[in-house]
Amino acid sequence: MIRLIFAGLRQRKLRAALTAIAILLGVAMVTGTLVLTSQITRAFDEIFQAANSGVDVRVSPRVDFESGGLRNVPTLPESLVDEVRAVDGVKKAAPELAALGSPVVNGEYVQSTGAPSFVFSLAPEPFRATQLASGRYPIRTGEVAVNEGLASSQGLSLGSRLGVATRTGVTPVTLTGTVTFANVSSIGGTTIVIATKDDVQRWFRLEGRANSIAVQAQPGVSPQLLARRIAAALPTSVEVRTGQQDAADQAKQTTQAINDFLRPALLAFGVIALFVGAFIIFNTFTITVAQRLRELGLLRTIGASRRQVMASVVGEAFVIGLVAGIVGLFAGYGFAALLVWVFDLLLPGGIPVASAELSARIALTALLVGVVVSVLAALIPAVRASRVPPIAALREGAEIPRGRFSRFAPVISGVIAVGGITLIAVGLQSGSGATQRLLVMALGALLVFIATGGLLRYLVPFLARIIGWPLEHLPGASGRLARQNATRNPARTAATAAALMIGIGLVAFVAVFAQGLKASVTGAIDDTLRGDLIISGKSFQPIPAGSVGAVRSTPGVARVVPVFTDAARTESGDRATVFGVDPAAAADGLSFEWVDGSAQSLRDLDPSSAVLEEEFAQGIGASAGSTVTLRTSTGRTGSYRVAGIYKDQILFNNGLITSEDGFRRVFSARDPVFVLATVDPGRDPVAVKDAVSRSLAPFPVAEVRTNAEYRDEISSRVDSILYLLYVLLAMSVVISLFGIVNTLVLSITERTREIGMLRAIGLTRSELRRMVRYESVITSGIGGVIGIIIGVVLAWVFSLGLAEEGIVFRIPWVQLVVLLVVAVIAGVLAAVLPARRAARLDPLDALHYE
Amino acid sequence: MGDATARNGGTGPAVEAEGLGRRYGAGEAAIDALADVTIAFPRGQFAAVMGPSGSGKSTLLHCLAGLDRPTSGTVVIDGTPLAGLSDRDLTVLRRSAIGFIFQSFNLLPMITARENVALPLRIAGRSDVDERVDAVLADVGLSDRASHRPAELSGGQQQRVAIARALVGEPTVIFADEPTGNLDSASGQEILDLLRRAADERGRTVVMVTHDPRAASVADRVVLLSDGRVVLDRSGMDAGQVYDAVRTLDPA
Repeated sequence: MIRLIFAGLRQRKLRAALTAIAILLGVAMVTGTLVLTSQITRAFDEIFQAANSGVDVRVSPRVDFESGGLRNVPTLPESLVDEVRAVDGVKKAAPELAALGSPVVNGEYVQSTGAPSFVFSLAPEPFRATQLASGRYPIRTGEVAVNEGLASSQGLSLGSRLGVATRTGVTPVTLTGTVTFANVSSIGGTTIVIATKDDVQRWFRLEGRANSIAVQAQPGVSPQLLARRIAAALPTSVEVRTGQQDAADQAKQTTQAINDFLRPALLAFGVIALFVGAFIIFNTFTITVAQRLRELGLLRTIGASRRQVMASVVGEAFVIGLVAGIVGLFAGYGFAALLVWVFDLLLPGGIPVASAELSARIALTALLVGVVVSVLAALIPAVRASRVPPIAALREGAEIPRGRFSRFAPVISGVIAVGGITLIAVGLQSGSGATQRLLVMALGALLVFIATGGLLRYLVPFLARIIGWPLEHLPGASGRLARQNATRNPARTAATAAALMIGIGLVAFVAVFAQGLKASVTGAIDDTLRGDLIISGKSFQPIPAGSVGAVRSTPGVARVVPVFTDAARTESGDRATVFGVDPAAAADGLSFEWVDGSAQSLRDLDPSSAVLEEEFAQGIGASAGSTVTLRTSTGRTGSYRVAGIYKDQILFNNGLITSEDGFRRVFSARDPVFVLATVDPGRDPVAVKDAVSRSLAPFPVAEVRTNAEYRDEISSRVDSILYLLYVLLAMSVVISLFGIVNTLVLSITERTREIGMLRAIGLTRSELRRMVRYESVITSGIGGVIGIIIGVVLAWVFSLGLAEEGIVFRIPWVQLVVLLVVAVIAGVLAAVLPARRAARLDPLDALHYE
Repeated sequence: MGDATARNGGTGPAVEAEGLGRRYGAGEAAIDALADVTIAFPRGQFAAVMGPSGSGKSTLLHCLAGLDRPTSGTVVIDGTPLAGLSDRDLTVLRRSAIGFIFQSFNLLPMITARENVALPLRIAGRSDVDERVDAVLADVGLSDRASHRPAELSGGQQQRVAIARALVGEPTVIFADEPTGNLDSASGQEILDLLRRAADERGRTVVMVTHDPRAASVADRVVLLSDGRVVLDRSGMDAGQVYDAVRTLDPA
């Protein structure tokens, strides 16, 4: 049997190769994801290990939950350093400061689009994370060292003058040295500026404060023991960890987004690709089993059992899966490299990547995935093959007896469809976590695709007639023949089209959903923000508070609303976002739909009151007049009386708005996240924008845009994510192309005699090629049309369910038309090889009888 | 392409071959499937080509029909020499001047008898499809089966559809390759009658390869091939004479 499997595969090399590719790409995506995420995770591990190599113990403020990340790093009093030094076993202790701040070279702000821009205080040895590459570390005020990559890319040399953009504006400094991160393969596009501790404190208004304290133990004192001693000596508002523990925690925190979001998301695309590949394998095996009836019957005649016949088909799938797994493993490293390239395009230098490593776990995953998917997809055809009666070997045109359940196929498909729709509905309605809901809905969508694939065969004749209509009305018989060929075996055409349908359907879904998302956000900006200008920070940085005054004093600016924000928890642990605004300015500058209260409620806000967003208020059961108590990340609490309830699902959502004083009373964020400005009536907003931009020159971090520009910026950010999704989904479309190629090649082999006859009675080579191409286009057109319909319907259902999150339903007509054109082009491309093979056939074949 | 009727009014033979040779392989192992065959088929003649297996009768048919390229000699169909025609020109010539009938019918299974008959006209892009198809279907006695698919027709009926398909384009010559080979004798006789009528009533030239002496006896002329050469070329033979002639060549 095994010899037979290999002989069969050798004989049908092209088909075996095409089938293997169908699954290989999915395997590559899965392994590529694992390779890439481990590369990123290791890179961060390396960075934090290197940064903490000389730190035995680190003292930092105790934080209950992540709030604002690098924008708002909590601090502790610098005086604690003396208390630490007094602890027995401490050899050395020093304060550390880390803030976000960008270098300014030749008056130009050095923007690292993806990676953070750090300003570090210079710590004494052995606490330094960096190693000197040239020059010396800063000693005096106004001196800095920068990372070597920055110096070389910006053409800086020792003694160069540059600026550092910080909370207090741009400070001129002199370069005294360059540094590297020891033993770290890459820190991405991160820029590092190191200055004296006093400079950093002054630049960021952190006099007398530090972000953390690094401690070195005396010889013979273990870090663990020292950490316990220090913890006992200090207040409970600080956390004491060993350097290693701290490095691990920091790495884990940084890579959490990658492991919680990026990896599952990328794996999902791999699973989609595998799913498409499974369709193709199923279809290919179904066709080949039908074509090999005589051969299979012969096996039965000479004594093979049904089980053995089944095993021969499954065995073939196993070998194909194994080959796909092995090649896919290596292709996965290529895919990882491709992703690194794409990420670098979207977020230049944003993600540090360690070198790729071959791990047994990844290799095993690749092989397992390839084999399991391939064998599972071939199971139904294998069972069908086992039903071939021995008589098939002797009789022309014998058929496989239908299974007991085959007449229920449409019913089963219907049940699967209902199940899928139910799952989507459940996912949309349930109150469980977002990930769980998404998973349930994704499973539902998967079932909808399977059911549609099953039901599609009944629609193929109808759809082929519609899509084939223009082709049939072209001169010649090719169009008509193509349509007739496409409909002669509806199940085959349906399965082939279904593979493409999945990819196209998901692209359509994403396109429609993204359109709705953009419409929601831009709509919210239009509806809520009554101002003309929006000032926000570059590179994820907050806007220096000093810039608010600069905006306010610009001629032509009528009203300025700085918006402060921080993360908080309610008493029951629910997440909440707190916004702090100037009540009078906000009442004029923001426009809400009020459930309870009015703009006057906003105007009347005092430090002990707040207005709540509707969803948030419902979630915590608050109503006008009740009191909400919030807890900050550092454990402080504050209570607010509910003065009103407004609707906003996009901008000021999931939380409350209080006055600036009410915000500062509890929360520590000192810089606004954005600033809204209104232009004097009669002034040209664009001219005022330019004036504001000039006023903001000392704060290059702050960027001013008109509302329209800000809308465009949001749209383009959504678009850049969209492009990434398109790239990932394109893999599925490419895989389904191989499916079309495969089906066409198999069909042509099957119709050799017919094609010979057509050539004999006068069909030219080019007409024959056209016939194959049109059949391909009809198949891909069916996949495209149904895919687009399903994608739009799914997006509509999802947007209904997410209506309360403010997501609206918008159809991007242009994109959908483009998508249909892509499907047709895919069909044309897929037909190239099969058409050439068909044209090569000799018309004499029609005359030879067996 | 020129008008079929005008061409059929020509005076020269429908098909002419001169010094036709077809060699397969090269060197020592070369086999001459056809060797120096010179033959002509006048318009309206029904000719049977016979010969034992490997005698070259199929190769002759393929070369005459422009499906196989001879290694030497020339073929002229309806005044057009085939040598030097491109694949496209050859295809277009087949489309207008030649009809084919195959042993295994070779109908497209997914379309009706009517659509099968219409196929050559559609390929040629003709506009008068309906009338012509109706007429030719009536001619072969299948008007009432026109909307059936091949699988729903008997072998004899399928071959009649194939004859209608060959006739519909009003070709100069019809090549039939063992047209009765897959049929019982009654159905076979119907097919032979139709071919006979095609020659007599429509003036088509019919060249039929067969190994059935009774089928050959319906023809005007019997051409016997052996080892790639014409060994006998006679008109007006009855079945017994044909049988004897074949037996002398093929004692098995």
